[in-house]
Amino acid sequence: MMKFNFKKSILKIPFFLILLFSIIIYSCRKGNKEPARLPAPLNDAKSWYESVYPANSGNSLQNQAAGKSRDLSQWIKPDWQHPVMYNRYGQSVIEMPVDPEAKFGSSYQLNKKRCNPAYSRSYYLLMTDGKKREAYILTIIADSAYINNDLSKLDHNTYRKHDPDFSGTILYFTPRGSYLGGYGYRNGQLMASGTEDTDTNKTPRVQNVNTGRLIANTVKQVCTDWYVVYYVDGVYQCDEYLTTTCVNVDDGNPSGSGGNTPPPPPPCPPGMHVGPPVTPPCIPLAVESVEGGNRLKTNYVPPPPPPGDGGMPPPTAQVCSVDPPRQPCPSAPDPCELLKKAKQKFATAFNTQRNADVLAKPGTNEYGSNLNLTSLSANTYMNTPITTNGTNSWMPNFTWNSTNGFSIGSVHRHQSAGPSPNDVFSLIDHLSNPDLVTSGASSIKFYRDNAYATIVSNTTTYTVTVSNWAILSQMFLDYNQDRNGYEEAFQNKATEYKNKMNLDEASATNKALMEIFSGAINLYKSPSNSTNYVITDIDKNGKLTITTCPDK
Amino acid sequence: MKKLLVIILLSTTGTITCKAQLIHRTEDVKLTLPNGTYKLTKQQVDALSGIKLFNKLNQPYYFPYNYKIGDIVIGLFNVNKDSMNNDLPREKRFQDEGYLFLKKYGNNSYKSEIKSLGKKQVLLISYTVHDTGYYHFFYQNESKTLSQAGEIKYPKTDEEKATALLNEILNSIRFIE
Repeated sequence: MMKFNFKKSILKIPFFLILLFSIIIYSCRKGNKEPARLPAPLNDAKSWYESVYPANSGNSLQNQAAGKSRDLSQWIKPDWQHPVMYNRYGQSVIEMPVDPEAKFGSSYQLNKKRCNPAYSRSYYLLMTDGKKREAYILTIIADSAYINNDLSKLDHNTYRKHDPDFSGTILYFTPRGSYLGGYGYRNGQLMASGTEDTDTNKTPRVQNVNTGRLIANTVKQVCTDWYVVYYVDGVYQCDEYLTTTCVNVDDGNPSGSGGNTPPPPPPCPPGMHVGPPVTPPCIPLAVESVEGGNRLKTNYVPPPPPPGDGGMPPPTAQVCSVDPPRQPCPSAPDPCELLKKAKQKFATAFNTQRNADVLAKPGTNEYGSNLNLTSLSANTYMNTPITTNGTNSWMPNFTWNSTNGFSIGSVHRHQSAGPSPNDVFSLIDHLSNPDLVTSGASSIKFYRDNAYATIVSNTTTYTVTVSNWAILSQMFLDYNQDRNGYEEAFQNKATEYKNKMNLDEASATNKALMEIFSGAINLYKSPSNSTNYVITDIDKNGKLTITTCPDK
Repeated sequence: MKKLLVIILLSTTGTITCKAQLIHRTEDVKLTLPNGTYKLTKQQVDALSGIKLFNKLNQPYYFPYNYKIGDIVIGLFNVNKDSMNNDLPREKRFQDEGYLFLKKYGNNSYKSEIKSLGKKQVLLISYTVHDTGYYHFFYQNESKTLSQAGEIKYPKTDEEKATALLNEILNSIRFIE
């Protein structure tokens, strides 16, 4: 027979009472639908989210001004009760559906065609790398062909994973509704981005490419305007223009794509791009002609590499920015204007006569003459002598005073070669002349603005002016380390061009000179006894170029 | 024993082959370079001490064909067939003018002359810069339609060797006409 133990029974009573109270409390809480206590990481994320995106009453979606991004944080919020937490790309991710209370729906509209909002799901993504938190809204819009009347397939696609045959578009937004970019999928493969068209005309366009002469007349560009459309309980509320994408089509068929899914919109709205602003190169004065005229851009944007883990590409947290407009190049004055101005000093009647006189000297020795202005305010020259140094090279006799004149230039004779490095560096050598140095900054500036060296040969007159004193000064330091070596290297190079390229002496030396000094000097040349100067330079391929100015 | 003999024979043959004179041959010319001369690769040419300041130019200065023997470097152009480069007096004027700078800086080493070697002519230029001697030669065929130009660059201490080398090269030039 079983024996009743009173002591044990008494001890069991509190246990039953506690159990009873617990059941009652739990039942009451369940009945009041109070949210369950969130795990610590989720609680922290919620606190952060609500502080960054506080809900303000009276700022509902419908009350917000049109033309700006709708602040979605005032309309929807994460469903904190259904989080999925995982790590991806080194970040802790909390993925949550949109709180169903808002009965929120969104999809896109392509031109005038709205996609079925039933094929769309939106998720909140809260990400942190342990230091910084970010929140995004991911909207996944599936193609009807992919859904194929089975809406449950929508649940197969989230930030973390997608079906191997998923076809559709994913769009990223900030919680305030700013569009961050999107990606397109076809049969589970990421698609190349559509070409951005910066024209903000919101009507669909078909632009015939056949405005240029050389383009096949069957190629057209078809542009698509993208809108995000918002719904409440399946009822249209408003839409918002996102961007425009364009593709080339051949005979009405999209080239290389096909199918129903259009290319995804680029990450940034028209006229903007991801990343910090980029200062475009300035607009040069002389623009190289572009064949074909109205050609369409073919800036194909390749698809991003697939994430590799079966999930969607991450949102671009970068800021979209607008580049500053292109400005005309400030440091590229019209070379013809420069020549015209310089000729006022080096192509006067006095210069022409003096050049001829130097050239007419007998023998093969170098003859030359300083070209000294009578004053800095006049454009007349002193009658300086024509001198020679015998079989040695001619040496200028620089002066900078009112008695002997102001040597802004010189002329000397060569047999066949054009100017040498020594002729160029003599211009900067004079800057150390004591008379010029003591004459003051304005005099030095006058010299820099007007200095020239003319070299005459039987066929050609060359005049060198300085276009960039800073560069030339740097080169002068090198030259002074080894003048013999510098000149020897120049002569060797000219000899090489003469032998290898069968250039005449003038062309060979001009080419070697401009390879060294292009960007630092201007090299003008004219037929002997003429002032019809042309500009000589060298192009990026190392070929000598000649520019003839309208007013020679 | 037989194997040893074969090895010795092969080694001797190899040594003789390596020491043999080097023939420089193009479709227009053939000349003999002395024993011990070897051809330089582009990398070896680039590594030669040159003028640092010349880097401003798009391409370094080098000949299409470059050889070295001891410390002496030989550079050869392709044979010139054009009239401009076959006018030796004109070439002399160009070079004389181009090297006037040497005198300007007190260097009187520059010499140039057009010499006759039998029925052929050669423009010979020599000068010294920084203890390095240079011979430039422009050797022309009898009918003055072809010329072989080149350079011999040598340490000043090797002047005698360089002069002998110049003579050897000039005497061996055979144009293929």
